[in-house]
Amino acid sequence: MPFLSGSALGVLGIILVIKSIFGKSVRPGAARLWRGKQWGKVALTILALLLYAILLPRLGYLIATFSLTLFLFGVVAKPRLWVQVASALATSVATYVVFYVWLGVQLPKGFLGF
Amino acid sequence: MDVLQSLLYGFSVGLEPGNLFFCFVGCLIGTLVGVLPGIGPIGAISILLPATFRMSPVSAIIMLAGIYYGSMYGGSTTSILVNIPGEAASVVTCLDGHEMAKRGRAGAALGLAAFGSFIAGTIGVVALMFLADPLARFALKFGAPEYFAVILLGLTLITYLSQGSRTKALMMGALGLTLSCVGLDHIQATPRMTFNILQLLDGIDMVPLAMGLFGVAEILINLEETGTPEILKTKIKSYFPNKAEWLRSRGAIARGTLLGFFLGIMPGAGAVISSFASYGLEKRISKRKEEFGKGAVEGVAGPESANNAATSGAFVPLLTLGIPSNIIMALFFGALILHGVRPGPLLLKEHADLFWGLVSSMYIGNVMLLVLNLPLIPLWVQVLKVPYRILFPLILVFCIVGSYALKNSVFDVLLMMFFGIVGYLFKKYEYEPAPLILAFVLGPMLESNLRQSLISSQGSFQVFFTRPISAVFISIAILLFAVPILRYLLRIKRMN
Repeated sequence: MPFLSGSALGVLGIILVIKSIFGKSVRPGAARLWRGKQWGKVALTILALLLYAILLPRLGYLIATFSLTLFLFGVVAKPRLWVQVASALATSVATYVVFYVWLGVQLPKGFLGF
Repeated sequence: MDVLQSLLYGFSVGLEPGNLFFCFVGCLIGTLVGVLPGIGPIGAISILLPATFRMSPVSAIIMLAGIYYGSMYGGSTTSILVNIPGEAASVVTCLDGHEMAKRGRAGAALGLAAFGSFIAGTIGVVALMFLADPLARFALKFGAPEYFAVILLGLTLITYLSQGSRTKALMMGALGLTLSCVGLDHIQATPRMTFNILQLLDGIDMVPLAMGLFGVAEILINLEETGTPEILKTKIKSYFPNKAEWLRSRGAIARGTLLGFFLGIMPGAGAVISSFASYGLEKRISKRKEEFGKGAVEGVAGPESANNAATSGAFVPLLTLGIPSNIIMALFFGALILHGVRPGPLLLKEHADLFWGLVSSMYIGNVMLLVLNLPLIPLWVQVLKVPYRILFPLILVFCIVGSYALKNSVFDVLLMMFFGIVGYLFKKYEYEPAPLILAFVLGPMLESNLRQSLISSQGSFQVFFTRPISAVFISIAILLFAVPILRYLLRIKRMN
């Protein structure tokens, strides 16, 4: 079965390439997709998320999430520092309480035990 | 009548205080999720799935269902007021709804959307109620070939109905099928495509995939944009459209309900397609075509009714055949299995309390939503004022917790992020993620039914055509495949 779907995928891909080479429709170039958008923020966010996922088991949920949200709250537009810290703190603690304490969902424990 | 008796039994389940509470919570969350752009019913249901572990199956399904049809109500609020669809099925409502708002008819638009949704939702539940038993009996005749044929048809339909390039949609479908093969083979348990990674032995879970492709990708795309949406500063005088608008919308609501319900039943179509289809239909049969795009009331009433009717319709295949008809139903499928309920034709008999309790809760829920949506609109508008930079970290955290909670595995979180990046790229380059997820969910069933059919027919493909039910479905699927190719060939011939 994977052979079937994989080969289907391959054939379709080739069709797509052929279509785009011989097609007459005017499509904007790929570069236009990236102009004028703040893809830097996207890249930063992705990096932050990856770091978070890697460090999550070491640091435990509370610390890792706090750091992540601290960073994320500042990504789109930087608020005042205390607002940023307070929101990050509130988010981490609130979600911890809602998910771990109240709903009983297991969350990763870090080296500090929480 | 038998049905009424069962319904009364259902109400005795649905009106239990616990279930009432969860129904309310579901509707509330659903409306909230519908109002907020950037997270939709898929995200909310997948995130709250682990949270339902502790509840009884009935309560869990009641709440999740409330989220689902509640979001169809809430989505129209933002579409009308801010021209931002709260979730996918409400995109069409932006077109005319926002125009109505700009002309001071915001209240009427909101009222139409809410009432249309209520009427359609309720009628949809009635239809569900009456269709369930006969369909379940019909489904008992289904064997492996029939299931294969129906699933194949569903997948074909969803690629056929996708927006944008059909080739790309087919590719996404194929990719979804391939991804569903990762893990242990279902019949012989040989590991496939696991690359010696331990965590992949169980296959890719739907939750991280869905949350990454839809939730995280959506957020990443939104991050690119600069600027904040402005909220229309109109005073909403009353929520009732005037008589003329009512009269005009009657037909639209009726047509929307019918169309939505039937499209909801079909595997592959769903609330989103229903709303688009309804808009197209209304525009086509309207005597005042120029009004569409500038505030035609049918453009709001029709699609909103359609997407609500579609949610009731979507439950039909899942609860009678045991086949999910769209992504959200696939999540419900997972939820049922998690709670130890096996979806299939026997669900009505074995778990009558679940089915009838759910049906009664849908009636109750629709009423609750009508109340929640209209008088509380100013409240929802306030919610919208929360700037996105505060919202999106919250959404991300929810996604992360949801991915982790399924198997206590950080690998799942990594998977989610990987698919988030992939989904972001997909969106940018205009590849529809919907066929991928559907193919992914239906892949295992497709494959096992195919193999079972071939095993019992000893390798002969004829079995699909000699059995009447499966022959019908397969022929339709082949037709759908062939038509675009034929048209293309005809065009080439004509050019020469």
